[in-house]
Amino acid sequence: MSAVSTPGIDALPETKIEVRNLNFFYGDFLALKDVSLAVPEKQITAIIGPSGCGKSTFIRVFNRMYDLVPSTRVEGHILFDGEDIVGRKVDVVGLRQRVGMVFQRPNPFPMSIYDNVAYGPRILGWKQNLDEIVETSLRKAALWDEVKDRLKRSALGLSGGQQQRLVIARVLAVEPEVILMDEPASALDPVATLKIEELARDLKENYTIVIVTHNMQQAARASDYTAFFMMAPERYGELVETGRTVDIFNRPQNKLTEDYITGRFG
Amino acid sequence: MSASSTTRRATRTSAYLVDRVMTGVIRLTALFLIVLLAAVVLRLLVAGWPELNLRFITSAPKSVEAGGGIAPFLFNSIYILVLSLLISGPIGLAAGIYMAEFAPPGRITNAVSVAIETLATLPSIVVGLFGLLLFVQQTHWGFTRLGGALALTVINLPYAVRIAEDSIRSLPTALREGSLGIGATRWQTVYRVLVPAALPNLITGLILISGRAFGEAAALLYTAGGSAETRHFFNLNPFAPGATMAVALFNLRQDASVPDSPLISDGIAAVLVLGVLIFNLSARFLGRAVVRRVSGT
Repeated sequence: MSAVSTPGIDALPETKIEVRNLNFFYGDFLALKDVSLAVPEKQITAIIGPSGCGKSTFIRVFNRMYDLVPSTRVEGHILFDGEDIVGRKVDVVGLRQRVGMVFQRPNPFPMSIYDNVAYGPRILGWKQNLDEIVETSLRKAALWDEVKDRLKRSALGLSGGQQQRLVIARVLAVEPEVILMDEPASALDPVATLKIEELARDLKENYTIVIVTHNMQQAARASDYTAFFMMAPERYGELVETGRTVDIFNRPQNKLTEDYITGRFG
Repeated sequence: MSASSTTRRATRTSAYLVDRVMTGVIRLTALFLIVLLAAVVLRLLVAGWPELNLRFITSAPKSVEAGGGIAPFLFNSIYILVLSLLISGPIGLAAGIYMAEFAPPGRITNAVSVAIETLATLPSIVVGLFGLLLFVQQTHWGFTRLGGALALTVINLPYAVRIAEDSIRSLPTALREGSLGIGATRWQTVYRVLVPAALPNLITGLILISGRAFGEAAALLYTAGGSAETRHFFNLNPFAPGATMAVALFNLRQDASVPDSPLISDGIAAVLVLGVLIFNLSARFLGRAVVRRVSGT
């Protein structure tokens, strides 16, 4: 069923996160049903699908962001480096440091550029080499050259694209292993969007990236693997097809996937 | 068909007319507020004008002859206000944070909410009576500035909680997500991101509360007392009695031994009005200045 398991030309990457038979509930409402998916390490996995199919809900299971919403419930298993992150005993705060998240709208804190990036290291109690951490993170986020002369200025004075890269730098500063991006470019103009995509490609050298997007060109351009979600007639979201992005876009196995990526609905 | 289109046009015309009339009416009511404020402020300032000078606010009151000042009353007003804010500020902030960020929906949270609303609507004379029973008689302190400050706190506190709660709750969820999303605890998120982001509103709110409490009389009448140390009024003893300006105003209009009591009470009223104006204007100004500082734009 999944292209991840078909023999490829290259050696297959290790699995970083494995989702097994996941059901997700808002109260009594089943939002995602029986989702199983392997997220390969140091690759970009795109989650695509029409509005309301549960993409954003799905990405929030990787860092337990759904805990913030009352009466949400998860059944199944999510193995992060082999360890189950579903359940009450999980150190959620520690997990979120390892699985950083970038949101639809850039959300810099109302403080200086420097303090935004230093925020994570500070709360983790890393007191040494803060300057170095800030510079490295901003360089990795391709923002250093634009802000190096105004680190003490407020982050709110940056453009939307710069703010989004600042937020990525803020995430990088706590040395995560996985970066979740929930439609990170949806509030940005095309130029800023391309910059974010370029950045994601650079970052996959060292990080596992999961990106939700409603933009199919973006998924095709920027990702290695693609998972296509859709709303079933019973109104829960389900994973229709997953595999290498080249395969999904050139030889979709499922008629629904084909219809969606060719723009016949969605 | 042409008949129906004529009726339609007539209906539209009358709708336009109503629109214009109603716009005028609501505009007038808004203007009325400005006129009302101007009338109150101007009337009191004009009446108190002869006394609005440095001597009046820096000299002690006289007991039988004319020409006394209000220095101890002014000092007590500020002293009791500050003391009360020192108590209600931290408690209000803590409770507001709890209500905005931690309180699970349920019976206890509802009970707290109802308690806050009820406290906020208690008549201040009733709070004064409560203060008399507890902070004056029960404690055997007698009339004290501290007792007055505590009674004033009962009045301030519900507003302080509400302001803190609203300021924190109205912050965008994205700020919480951004902080929690990189491994901050809830408490770190609160004190490192949310409270600083809410600071402009918190400051504005605190000043507005101050303006309200600055002129409080009923709650202080039975707690801080009607007398003031007139010779060494500038001491900081919280257990000294401390009549404030509003209380002195009340007393002067009740029974006064000085011949110029109407003039002095007009002067006090003018000083109170000025004080409240200063509080309100500085709330706007400071709030805006802090926003500018934080956002750096």
